[in-house]
Amino acid sequence: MNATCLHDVLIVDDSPAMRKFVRRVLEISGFAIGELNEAVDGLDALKFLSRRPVDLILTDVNMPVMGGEEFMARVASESGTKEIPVVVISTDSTRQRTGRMMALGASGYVAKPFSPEILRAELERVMAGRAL
Amino acid sequence: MSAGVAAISPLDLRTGLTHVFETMFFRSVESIPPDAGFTCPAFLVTVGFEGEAAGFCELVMTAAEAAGLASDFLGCDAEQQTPDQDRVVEVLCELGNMVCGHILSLSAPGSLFQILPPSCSSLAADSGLPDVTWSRFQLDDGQVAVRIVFRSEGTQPLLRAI
Ligand SMILES: [Mg+2]
Repeated sequence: MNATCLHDVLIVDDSPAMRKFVRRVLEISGFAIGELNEAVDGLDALKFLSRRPVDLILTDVNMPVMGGEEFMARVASESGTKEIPVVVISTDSTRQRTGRMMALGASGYVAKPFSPEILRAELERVMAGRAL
Repeated sequence: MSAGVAAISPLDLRTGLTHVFETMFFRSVESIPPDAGFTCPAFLVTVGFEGEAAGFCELVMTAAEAAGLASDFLGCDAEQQTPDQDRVVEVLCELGNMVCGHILSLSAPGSLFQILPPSCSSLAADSGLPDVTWSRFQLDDGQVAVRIVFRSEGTQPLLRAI
C-alpha cells in the first residue's frame, strides 16, 4: 500500500466489459484507489503478481485457462501473494460456491448484480480487517 | 421425478432478470405477453452451465436496446462514439452471464454449477426469434426474451419444477 493509503488493485476477469465496468465503479465509488491493473484469467493474474504486488485482488470465478478457485488456491499458498486480500466478484452466489471460495482463503464476496455502494462497503470491510 | 423435468419458476426468472437490469443497467423491466411481436435486428446470447444443474440460458435482445445498454454499461458519454458491434457483443455476453448465474443462484442456492463462456450472434429475421415458450419483457428501447433449458441426460432435477 502506498503512503497515502491508496490501494493498488488487480481486477481478474475474462469479460472485458466487466473489467471496464468494475474499473468505472471503483473510480466513482469513492474507494481509495491507487493503480488499477487488469488480468484476463487466473494464470495471467499470477504472472502479473510475480512481477509486482498489489494491495487488493478482485477476481471472477468462471474463467477459461485458470478459473477463480485454482487462482485463489495458488494466491493463498504462495509466499509472495498469500497476504494479499482477495474479494470474489461473481454472478454465482450459491452457498456452495461462496463457501468454497471463502474456504480457499477469499476475504470477501460480492454477488453480481451489485451497486457501487455494495462493492465499496465490502472492499472497505476487507481492507479495514487488514489494518487491524 | 424423471431427470430433466427441473425448471425455473416464472417468479425467479422475472426477479433475477429485474435485479440484473435495475442494478447493473438502470433499466426498468416489464413483463409482456409471450406472443408479443419481436422486431429484428436482434442478438442471441447463449450461456451453458454444467454441474449439479446442467443446461443453457438463452437471451434475445433487440439491437437498438442492446446498443444503448452497452453504451451505458461501458460509460460512453454523449460525445463519445457509440460502441462498435464487438463492444456490444462483449456487454451482451456479460449480461447473459449475469442473468444465467443470478437466476440459477436464486432458484438453486444449495447446488454447485459452473457457468460456461457465453456466445453471442446476430439473429436473422426469419429464424431463431423467441416463440411463446420464452419469457418476454419490455425495456426502455426494445425487448428482451429469456429462457432457461435443462439438459435431461445425467442430471438430477435439483431445481424445483414450475
Ligand atoms: Mg467469467
